[in-house]
Order: sequence, then C-alpha cells, then structure tokens
Amino acid sequence: MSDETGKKSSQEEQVNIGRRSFVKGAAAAGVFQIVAPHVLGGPKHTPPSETFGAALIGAGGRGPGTFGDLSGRHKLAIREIARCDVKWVGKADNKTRYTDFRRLLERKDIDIVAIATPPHWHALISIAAMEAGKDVVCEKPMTRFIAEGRAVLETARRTKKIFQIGTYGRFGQKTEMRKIIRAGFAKGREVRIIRRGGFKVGQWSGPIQIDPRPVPDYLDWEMYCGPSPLKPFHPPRFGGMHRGYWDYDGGGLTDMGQHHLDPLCFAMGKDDEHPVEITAHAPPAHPEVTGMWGWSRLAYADGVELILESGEWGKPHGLKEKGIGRGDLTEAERRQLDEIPDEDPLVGFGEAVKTRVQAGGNADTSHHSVCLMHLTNLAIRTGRTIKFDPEKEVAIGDEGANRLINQPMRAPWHL
Amino acid sequence: MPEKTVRKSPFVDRVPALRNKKWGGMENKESEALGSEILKAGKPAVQEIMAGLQEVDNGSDWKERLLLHMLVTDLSVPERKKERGMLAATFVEEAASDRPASVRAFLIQELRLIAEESVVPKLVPLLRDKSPLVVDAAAAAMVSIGEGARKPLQEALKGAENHSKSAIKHALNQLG
Repeated sequence: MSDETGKKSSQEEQVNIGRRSFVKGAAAAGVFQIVAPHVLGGPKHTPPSETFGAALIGAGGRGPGTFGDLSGRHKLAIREIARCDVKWVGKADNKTRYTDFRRLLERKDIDIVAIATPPHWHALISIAAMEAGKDVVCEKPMTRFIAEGRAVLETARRTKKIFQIGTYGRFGQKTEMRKIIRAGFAKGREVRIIRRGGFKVGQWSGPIQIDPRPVPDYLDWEMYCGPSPLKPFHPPRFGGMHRGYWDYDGGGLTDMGQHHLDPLCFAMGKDDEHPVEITAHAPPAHPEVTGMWGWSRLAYADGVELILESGEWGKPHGLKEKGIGRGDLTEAERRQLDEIPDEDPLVGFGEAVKTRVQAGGNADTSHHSVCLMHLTNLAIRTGRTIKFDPEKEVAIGDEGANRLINQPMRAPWHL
Repeated sequence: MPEKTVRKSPFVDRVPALRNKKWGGMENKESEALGSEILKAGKPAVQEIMAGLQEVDNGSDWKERLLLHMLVTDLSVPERKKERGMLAATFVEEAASDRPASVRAFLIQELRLIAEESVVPKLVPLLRDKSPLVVDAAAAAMVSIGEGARKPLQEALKGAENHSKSAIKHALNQLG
C-alpha cells in the first residue's frame, strides 16, 4: 500500500523487494520456462501487494454482509485474517477468532477492519482501529452520540486512515440542488426537504417488561456493555433488538436514518454543516428504551429546512416540500452557478484504500449526517427545541441537552 | 433484600398502559399537566414515586422510571434552577439510602442529567459504595458536573481501593 504522498509502506516495500530478489534469482537459475503464469502476475491475477488483510469485528447480524462488501461492492482483493465477537467465549483461539477486539487490532497483517457491532461500540473501535493503522468500514449509524463523531473524524484526519460508513446512497446522487445551496442561493428563499416514513419507529422501540435472565455461557456480557452502564441481561438488549435501548443505539431513527439522510445530506450540500435549530414532536421519552415520535424539523443557518416525518405518532407537521432548482434562480444567478467548477466525483472505499484519497462516505460527512438523527433524538429526549452551535457542537444554553451530547463512559473506556 | 410494600403514587396511574410491551407515548398536554402537578406537590410526591422503584429490573416499575425521567428532563434547563435543586437533592438523598443498589444506580444515572456542584458532597461517599453499579453511576455524574468535581474527585482518590480507585481515576481522565 502507498500512503497519501505516494510513498510505499514498509510492508509493500518488503513484498516488492522480495519479488525483485526472486526474479533476479530465478532469471539466473533459468526457471522461467516452468513457472505457472500466475506466479508472475497477469490480467486475472492480483499481486500480493494489492491483497489486503482484513478482519471483521461484530460477526453477527450485518457482519458477514459488511465484510463481504469489501470484495463485492468495493472490489478489493481480500485475505480474511480473523473475526471477533463477544459471543465466542470459550471458542476464541486468538488466531482466527477473538472475543476482544484490542487483541485483534494488535496484528500487523490486518490492513482493513469491517465493524458491525452494535452502535455503542462503533466510535471506540473505529478510533482504536485507525490508531492501529487500519482502514475502516463501519456499519451505520456511525456513532451513538454527538461527541463520539467528533472524536472519530479527528482521528481519521490525524491518522490519515480511510473511513467509510456502511451506507452508499450518496454515491450517484444528483448534484444540482447541492451546487445551488452551497453557492448560497437558498438564502432568502423557502427551501424545505421532507423525508417521510421508513424509520421503523414502532418496530425498533424497546420492549419494557422483560425479566432479566442469566448471562449465557457463550457471551462476554461485560464486554458487550462496554462503555455503557452494566445492566442485567435482558435478551432483547443483545442481538438485534438492541436498537431499542438508549444504551446501545437510538431506535429506528438511528438504525435507518443514515440510509435515508446521508444521501439527502449530500444532495442538500449540508454534509459539512449542522442545523442550528431542531424541534421534535414526540411524547416524553423513557429513560432506557427508545419510543415513539411524530416528526422533527431541522433548520440550517441559511434557512434551508429538513423535516423528518415518521408517520407513526401524533399529528403531521402539515408543511409541504419545496426544493430548489435552476428554474428558481435568476438569470444572473444561473450564470454565476455555471462558473462554479463541478466537484470531483465521490471516491469509493476500494479506490480510496488504494489511492489514499478519502472515501465519499468519510468520517466528516458521516458525522454530519448521523448528527441529524442525534439532534432529532436530543429534541425528542429533552422535549424542547434545541439551539445548536454548529461549530462547537453544543446545545446553546441547555446543559441538560449537552449531557446527552457528550456522555461519560464506563471504565476503562473513553474517547 | 426484598422491597417493602409501598403505596403507589396516584400520579403513576395516570401514565397510559404499554402497547405490545412498548411505550406508545401520551399526549403532550397530559404529560405537561402531570409534570406540573408532581412538582407542585413537591418533594413528598417525588419520594412517593421513587418508593415504587423495584430492585429487579423487569420493567414492573416502568411508569415510575418514566415519570422520574420526565421530571429530570423538564427541569434540566437553566430557567428552572430552583425546582431542579429540589429534585437533585431528593435524588441524591434517595441514592444514599439503604435501597437496593440497582435502584440507587438508576437514581444516580438520572441525577447525572441535572447534577450540579451542590450535590457533589453527597455524591462523593457514593464513590466508595460497595456496589460497583453505584460507584460507576456516581463517577459518571461527577464527570458530567465537570470542573467543579475535579478537586473532590482528587481528594476521593486518596485511599480509594479496587473498583472505586479505578472508577475515580477514570472519571478524572474523562475530565481531561
């Protein structure tokens, strides 16, 4: 692999040196008449320097699919090194199967890590993986609360490792509205984008009256809870229904939201900007399980609005969508718009890993899209309008909300 | 330790039933009225709700938990400082009682959202509680209080052992 400056990594250097030595030695020995073509490479052969050691952390649920995307969607030549899961107590060999991701990340033969744990682990494992020199594909939602996202994106910037969120709707989106909004032409105009339905609010609300059970022998429950408070083992807290507990996720909104809102965030040209005012229509929230909500209204500094409507609770907001296109601009604005150069196309994760150009769904853009869900949940959980400082990423004059934006973690875990 | 039988708060009965074992919500007007009435009734009403919290976390006390959380979030804004002070004091008092550790841990986790420096003196002893659940919750509340908790945490570290020691150190690390 090469880094961003084009300098080859020591690992690639070793492989190439090895290959040069072999060729030199082989030529001297006259062995070229008998070696198979794949040894020397060819159109259908992937040289070892382009094969990436890969690992999966969180092997249940979406895990195999996320890992399979590395060779499928991202077209990378992958050598599977190991998998890690907290449900392999007594079955881990610490060679190909692990229960502790920290031991897996110590390995030098892993270049890429796919993360498909529940979301309360996404930030910590993404940060640890990048710190350990790995590129990362992380399942959505990127994080569980806002401060985690800032920590992930700062790690990605500092380490220059490739990060891609596990949703790809932004690739192939139309760019006209994005260009218009980013050029500042939405200011003073009514622009409102509405996303209706698809949030699975009722489906991923947490079940409440559940008897605690003994922790199964195969499960490291302490590690599963990780940075979140240690709770009694309720079967729904583990294995899919975890989405319905604030300790691990944010309900159907965060589970489905990044699929729906990451592409919108791109199309609206808002993937480097946060809303400044967020209002939600929802009943009082339960402290432990996620619940119902009707809609949220997220307003940006330039007046652009995004409305999320679940269609599953309360009265609808009643506002209508109003997009913006070339037809809404004056002739002078259209001329100005035409002078703005088009952005470079988004880079897929596979290409990003090889070229060291940051991926299209990187930590920066993903943080801004996942914050739309976190801010909506913040308004739901506090029951009030949130005034958000988009630079400092804090709720203005609302200490209660800020204590949900940045949540302490249980020892030994911290950002 | 089995919980004593206690009189159920009349406010609890006003929370609608679950739908398919899930919280289906209530009208905002009703929840606002409920919150106002509880606060008007003051500390005894809050304590009565707290008395319904159960040791075994099986959801049988979900209405009590919901109401207490509702009060905490409603009061976690600057303009309700006076009522918040009453609520925080009631929470920390109950957290320091002889209730089961799981109940006290829940109360401190809620307190985290509204705790201010004024409750620090009563939180500090909980950092040495024999239950790790209580210690972890108290440490997290101290982190959320911020700078005002730093010195008391440093003091509490002196002589702390085992889980308490690691939780206090961790809290200090998170304060930065």
